[in-house]
Amino acid sequence: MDRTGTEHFDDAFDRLFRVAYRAAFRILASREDAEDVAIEALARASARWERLGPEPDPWVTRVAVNLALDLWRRRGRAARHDRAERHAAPPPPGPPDAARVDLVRAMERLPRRQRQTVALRYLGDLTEEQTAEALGVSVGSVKQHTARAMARLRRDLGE
Amino acid sequence: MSGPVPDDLALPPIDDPSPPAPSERHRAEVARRSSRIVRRRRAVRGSAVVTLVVAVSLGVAIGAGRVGPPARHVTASPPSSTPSTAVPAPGTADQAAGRTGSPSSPATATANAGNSADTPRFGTVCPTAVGRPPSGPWTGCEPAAPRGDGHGPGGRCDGSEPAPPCGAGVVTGRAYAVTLPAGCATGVGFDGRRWTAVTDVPGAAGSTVDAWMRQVAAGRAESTGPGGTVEWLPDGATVPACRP
Repeated sequence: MDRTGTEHFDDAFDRLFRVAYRAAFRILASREDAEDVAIEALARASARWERLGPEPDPWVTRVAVNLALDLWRRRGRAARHDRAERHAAPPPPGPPDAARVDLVRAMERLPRRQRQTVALRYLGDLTEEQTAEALGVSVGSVKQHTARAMARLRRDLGE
Repeated sequence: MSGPVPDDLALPPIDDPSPPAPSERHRAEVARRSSRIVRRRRAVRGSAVVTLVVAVSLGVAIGAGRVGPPARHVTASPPSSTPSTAVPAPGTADQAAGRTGSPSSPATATANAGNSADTPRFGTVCPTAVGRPPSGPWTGCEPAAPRGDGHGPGGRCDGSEPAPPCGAGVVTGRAYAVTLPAGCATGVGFDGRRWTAVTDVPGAAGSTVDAWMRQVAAGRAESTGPGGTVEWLPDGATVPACRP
């Protein structure tokens, strides 16, 4: 810690890596991809460490979730492109967990703010307060977005 | 519902049962990517600064081209008689008034007529300006300068003046009215020293030009008047070949 209470990046590295990896793995289900996302998230955090403040975890989680969702979308587009080129050949194997596929696909259909809220709360394990801070909104707004997102996810996932 | 995971979301087991421990390999890769991000950010900032400088330079150049000194020379009104350290108050009005009728004026006009660079390029005239030029960068559209207050011919400094601008004590950055000899590599007294023009002082050989002169840094001065801005170096400094 320095005089301002900010943790040194090296000291926070292990914790932040685990946070970013867990969030990324929950979306991608790939150790290799999750590692890559965690490394990228930490590299970005390192490059702007002084501006992250005393609690960088929510920021790192948000970046990891966004990177993972971006990677997920790119993979999806690539898979669709490949299928189109092979003229309706059998779909390539996706992530191994069907429930995860359904969840992430359902999340992709959510409005942006609801998707971010759910990703940070349930995939990043952030509290409502941390999610509010990471998104720059109030806790009440987080609760509202979460409730609406959950209702829609339950409907889409057939619960 | 402030806990990390709510009870009402049936999450499948989606955590990695054996996540990799952060290692030196991860740290090294993070450091490498972080350096790349910082480099890229600096490059973007650098290019932004270069773009800004180019844009400003372009704007100044266009502005200077649009508002040429000759037009100002023709249209400029006499400078204010505000007492200043640049020009002693007594005689200032006379000097200013004498600008259009003094012996030096026809010479200047002749010099301007014979200098093709004095032709307004866009037909735009500088706004009628009164007073000393601003302390910022000169644009070539400064107000006309009155004649210098030196004891020499036409207001030139002859070395006997005890006070600025001929004598020592010039304030860096402040513009002083001076009378310059036209021509290339000409010398002038300023701040108690002799200075040599790096570039041509526009005007017919043997004539004088009333201009503003200021010391912009230790050992460097510039003047602006009919025909444009001229850089000056004190005698004793290495003066490059004059660029007419």
